[in-house]
Amino acid sequence: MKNKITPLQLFFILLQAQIGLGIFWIDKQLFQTAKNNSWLSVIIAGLGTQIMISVIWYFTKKYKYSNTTSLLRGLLNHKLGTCISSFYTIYFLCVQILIVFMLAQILQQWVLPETPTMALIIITVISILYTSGHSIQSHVYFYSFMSIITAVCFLFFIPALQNVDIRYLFPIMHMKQFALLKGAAIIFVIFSGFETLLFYMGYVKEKDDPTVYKAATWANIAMTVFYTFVVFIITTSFSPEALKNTPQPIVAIFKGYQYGMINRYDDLFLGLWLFMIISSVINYSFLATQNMYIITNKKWRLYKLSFVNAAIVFSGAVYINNIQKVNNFKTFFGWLCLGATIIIPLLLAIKTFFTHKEIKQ
Amino acid sequence: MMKKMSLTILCALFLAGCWDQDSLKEIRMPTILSFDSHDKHDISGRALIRVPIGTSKGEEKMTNEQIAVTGNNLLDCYNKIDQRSSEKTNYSQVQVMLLGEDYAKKHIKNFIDSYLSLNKSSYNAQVAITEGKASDIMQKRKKNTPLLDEYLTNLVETGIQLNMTPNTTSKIVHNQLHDPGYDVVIPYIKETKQEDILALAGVALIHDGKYTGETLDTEQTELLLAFMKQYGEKMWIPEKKELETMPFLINKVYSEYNVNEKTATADNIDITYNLTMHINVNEQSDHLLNTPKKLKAANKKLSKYYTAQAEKLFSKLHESSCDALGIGRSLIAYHNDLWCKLKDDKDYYQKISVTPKINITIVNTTMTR
Repeated sequence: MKNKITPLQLFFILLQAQIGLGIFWIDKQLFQTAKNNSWLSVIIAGLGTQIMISVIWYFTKKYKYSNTTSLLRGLLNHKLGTCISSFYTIYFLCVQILIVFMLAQILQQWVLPETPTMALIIITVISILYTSGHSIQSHVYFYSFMSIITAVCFLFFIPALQNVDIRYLFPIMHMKQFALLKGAAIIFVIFSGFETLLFYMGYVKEKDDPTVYKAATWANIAMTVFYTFVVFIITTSFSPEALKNTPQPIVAIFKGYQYGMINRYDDLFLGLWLFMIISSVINYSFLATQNMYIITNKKWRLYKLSFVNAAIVFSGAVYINNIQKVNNFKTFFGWLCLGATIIIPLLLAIKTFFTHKEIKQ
Repeated sequence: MMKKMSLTILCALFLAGCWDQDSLKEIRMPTILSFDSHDKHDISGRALIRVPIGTSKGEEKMTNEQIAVTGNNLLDCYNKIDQRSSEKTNYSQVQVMLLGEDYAKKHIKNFIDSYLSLNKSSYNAQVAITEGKASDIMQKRKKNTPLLDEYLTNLVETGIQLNMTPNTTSKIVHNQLHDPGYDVVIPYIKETKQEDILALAGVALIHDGKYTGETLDTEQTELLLAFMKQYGEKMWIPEKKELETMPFLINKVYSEYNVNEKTATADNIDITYNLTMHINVNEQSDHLLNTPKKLKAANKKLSKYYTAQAEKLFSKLHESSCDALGIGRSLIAYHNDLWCKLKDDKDYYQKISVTPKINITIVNTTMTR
């Protein structure tokens, strides 16, 4: 049973991988495109995610393998498999860089304006360094434990319902064609995290068990409902014009509350949400380290690789320090994300459809 | 073990709180800000700070200190306040922001935007407009009253709790000022002539991010708030002579409006606004409402009286084209075709004629409580 996970544990892993920084990506870019129908865009993006989850499950369940790199090597050939695995490693590193950088930026903007960005980056990188070299089992225990904090975090959103103006949701569908789909394309980035299923499938014992698919589906449903709810709250709390000059609307909503003694509700929220972001970033750091371990044919020790991972993330996050670089990096990341979440899984599924060869371990 | 130890020490070195700590003795936190227009383009600002003074008995007493500055824009004023005060200024505890009449007539929008863009600004600061200059009100000091900042804060907050004024935190005002289908109303603070004290005197009507110069008195404000479904503990006392014996409390309010789409044109949209109030009358012993006939008559009288009041209210809103109820927002949401004809005009409220109708039903009567 060592290094194997159950479907329930898979559910928690996927949930933690997807919930995290995404909540801060829901900003003016989405609302300028899809306007008051943004919540429909989120549902469309959720449906797209569900299709991709089905695609990934379709081809991974057919084979027996212990890690995805060996699947890729067997399915394609040794060189191409290593190449795609390296691509995913780069992708996981980029996700980490982006999360670490954006987390530092958000903390600096809302809570700690005088703290140097470097210090905030180092704090996150230390937690990445500490967790990335461990086994899947310890990660799974951590995620299961984190689900308690997730539940508490959800309670935070309930008071947000008290001063919503439902009129901001209407009129429905009164807009340009394809605006909804464009919005869905923008918001699809926050659903990224499901592509880790491709790698976690290697740890699942009985891959053709339908409960595995069910677990992934339920994680996706939970995500879609959650993000739809968040978008609903944001749309109904701000007038469209006010949304344009609010950088992270969800934090602004929490900042506007005052309950008795608690004056800065947003500090409390950010403090708790930090756990969610960290738990999603260590998900990627774990996968990046494991991938590097397998690509280098297990020549390097795992903990050395976790230092390499942390060093790359740190230098990357420090490098993107002005708005030009950030925008370039975000565009680059968008393409990387498209490749990792849609194009490669689809190509692999097509390849599987036409070949029926056994994978040798 | 060594690895863990070194990591812990490394973490401790980078604890983020150290950079951002603001110890109380090193910062000054204004509780009231006020702004007036000064000459043509300049702005004069005032910040009221609470400072402790030691008394001869050894106990600490609080007193208010004011910093008055003049600058050519708002950020300049904030900068100058920083320069004049001996310590760092932190705006996170601002409770009330007073705007002078003249200043509010120029731009409220800029003011709110620049306040919210300040580092550590408070989203919960209440905004209010004063009669005359805000700095005059700031300089009022009575001997036996509590500190001015405490007095002003309590004045506005009690007004909200008793539903005498709407809740206008900087966040809410910012939100509604940036809404094309909404106009905000802001509490109006006035100095009463006889007793020389500060009091709430209804609300100021804002249109297009500027104070129109028109105000509603307290009765009209309460009626407006009932239309906004903000009602509560406040006892309503009709002013009309024959109704004076029927003070009442509101139990429940139902409101609905009807847009007459058939007769609607680009220049005139008819809206009927119905408000049903379930009330609890406080009976007087010499005017008992003990028969169904008397109750019916009372219902009718009250309804008629308040419908007439509401007509006055809406004609006043119409004059200053202040869409305080957000009818434009409702049109955007539910009658978008009509709104498309109106939306280019900032004074769209001029083209909307609202016919209010108030139905009052007495659901309960009490003599003593």
